[in-house]
Amino acid sequence: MKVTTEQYRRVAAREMADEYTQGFLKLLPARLAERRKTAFADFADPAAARAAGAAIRAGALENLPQLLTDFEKNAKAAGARVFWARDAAAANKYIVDTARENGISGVTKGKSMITEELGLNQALAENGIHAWETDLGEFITQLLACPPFHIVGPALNIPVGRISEIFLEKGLIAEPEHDPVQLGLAARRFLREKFRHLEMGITGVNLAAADSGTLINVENEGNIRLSKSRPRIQVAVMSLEKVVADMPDAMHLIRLLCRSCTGQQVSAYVSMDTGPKKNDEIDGPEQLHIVILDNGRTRIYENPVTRQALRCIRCGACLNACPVYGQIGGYPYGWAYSGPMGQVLSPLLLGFARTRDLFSACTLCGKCRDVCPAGIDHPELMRYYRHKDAAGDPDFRGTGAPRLEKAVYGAYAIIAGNPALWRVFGAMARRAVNCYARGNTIGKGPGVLKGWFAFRDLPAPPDRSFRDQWKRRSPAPHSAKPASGRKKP
Amino acid sequence: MSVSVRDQILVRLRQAPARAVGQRPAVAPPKETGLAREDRIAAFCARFAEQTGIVYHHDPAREIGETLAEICRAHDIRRVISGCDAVLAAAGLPDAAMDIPELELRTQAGFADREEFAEAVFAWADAGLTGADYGVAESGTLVLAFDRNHARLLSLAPGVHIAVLSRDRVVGAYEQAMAELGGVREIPSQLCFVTGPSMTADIQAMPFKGMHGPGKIIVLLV
Ligand code: SF4
Repeated sequence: MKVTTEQYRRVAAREMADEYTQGFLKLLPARLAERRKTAFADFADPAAARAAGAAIRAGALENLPQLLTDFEKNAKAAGARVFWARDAAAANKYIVDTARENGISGVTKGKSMITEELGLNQALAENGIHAWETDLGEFITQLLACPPFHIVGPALNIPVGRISEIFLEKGLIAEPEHDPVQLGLAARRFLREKFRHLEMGITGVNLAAADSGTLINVENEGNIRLSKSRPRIQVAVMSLEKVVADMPDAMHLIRLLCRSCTGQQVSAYVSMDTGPKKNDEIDGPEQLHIVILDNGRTRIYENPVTRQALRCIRCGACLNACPVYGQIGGYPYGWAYSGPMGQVLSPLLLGFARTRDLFSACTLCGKCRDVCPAGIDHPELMRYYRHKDAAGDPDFRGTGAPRLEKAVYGAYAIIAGNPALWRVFGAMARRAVNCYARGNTIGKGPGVLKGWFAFRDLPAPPDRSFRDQWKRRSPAPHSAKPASGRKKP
Repeated sequence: MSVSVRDQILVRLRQAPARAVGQRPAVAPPKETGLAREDRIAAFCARFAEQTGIVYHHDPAREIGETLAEICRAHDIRRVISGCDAVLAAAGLPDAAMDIPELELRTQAGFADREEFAEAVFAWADAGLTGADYGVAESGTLVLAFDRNHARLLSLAPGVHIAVLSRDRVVGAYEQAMAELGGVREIPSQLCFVTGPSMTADIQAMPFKGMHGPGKIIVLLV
């Protein structure tokens, strides 16, 4: 998948002018948020349930090296092959090699954000192996070559007319079709043939239990189950933060994940694999390959502030809560992860130079934090990224604030640190900005400030400062003791 | 080398500074764990039905084959592939289904080869018949543990899944099912929670059943 995070502003502007997207955004996030709320109501104490989720994720991360070692040991004991991949290139190479060694020319994929992150489809295609996305939404976005609009439904916003066109073009249907159900069934028929003869399936991993070496996938369609159950070879790609201590922890997270994601108590299928099939089983994979992927995550982990980003369980609740996502939808985020989840993850994985706009375009309202079942403090991270970016921290590929901005804030720091200077410049600024006042508001500014005023107004400051007015009104201002409780005249 | 990548990753993770973890609040188990047996079964059935699952209560006065024949007639099922698992066996299946005249029945034990079996579940069978190891009342979920007598594709590739569930095996919460299962058998190569038919709402948020897996799921409660 092509990364287009740099084009955030352009795409956001386009989406905000797009009537269709706007109509859609009025309905979808609110509906999903409502469903989530209803689903949480059957926890005896929804807040405690969420806090427990946060504690499970935080605890798993603190114990990560041990859990990974245990997971590997137990998965291997059950017969799985484990490969540790430093980066996308290593992971892709391993998967391509596995396919080649087994003479595979086509694979199916279950919906997985991680393989989007890897650009796996591209790597497979370069080696003559076609990867079929099999989640209906992913299948459509793959045919249309567009990024996911929402994690729950990557193609939810695509009009049926466009789906009909592309299905016609690809020969899935013979006549134009505008019924969503019929279109879905056409995709079923098409992909069923792929599953029927499938030899290798690739999936992501929602969670893994260390104490048994078990991989867990959560889905509604059955495409992941088919990708795991039909072929002789199963590849599971797992970023290294997915592991939790044991099944009871995993069960609680599954309750939270499904409720947060689609408002279901549980999704249609939760499948849990421990090793490949046993010798005497008639189906299931003969080879189970588990790729444990780092791809920058140890670096994220080493920093105790950014570590919390690895708690994310990809539920997508934050998208529905975010007022910015609610205006622009998923496309501007330009990669596999959108909404607050993307604002948190993409900058860490791609570096700030390409993703600055993602975390700049945040109101710090904290609505994402309020719904997150993993206890991520998104606003804290946004502030931290801004700080690191302005400071030009090389660890984050921050490029530093623009020179003018630095100069202005440098000067401001000097002035604000000196009462005499503050008074002089304050009075000057007051006069200067009031030249732009219309009545009691300032609606535009000069030069570089033009942009700031494009979407905001300021109340015009009064002619005299607070200190001035205080001085005039207090009978003996200089002897007044603060907090003395004395009555003012 | 993959070994060294592994060790490099683990070393870096181990050396990273620790961060304090907050107290984990106690979470009450799902309320279904507190229900009496019959209420628990009723809760399971209600939840299962919410997901458009269909429940048949087997009347012990009848033959199990009769109930199964009734199900097959009602849902226009003529060709069935059956598992051979212990739950089915305890209910007298698939043996009792052999005599249903209008039903063509094959069992997974009758297939020598995985490809032949796959072809039959994908292209021949109208329905797959399996046992369900547990029913979970908290969400109307079936727990399926796969093994040599219970193939994975039976509940996945045919258009209909018929699961036989014992009334003795309806529990309140997932954890109970997992704990009981862990007590009686080794960890299966795959364990699956099934809650309703396969579904999607990926086009215009229009929900429909039977995306890739079965469009219909039937529980025969014995
Ligand atoms: S960051 Fe967003 S997607 Fe991730 S767990 Fe929190 S709410 Fe869910």
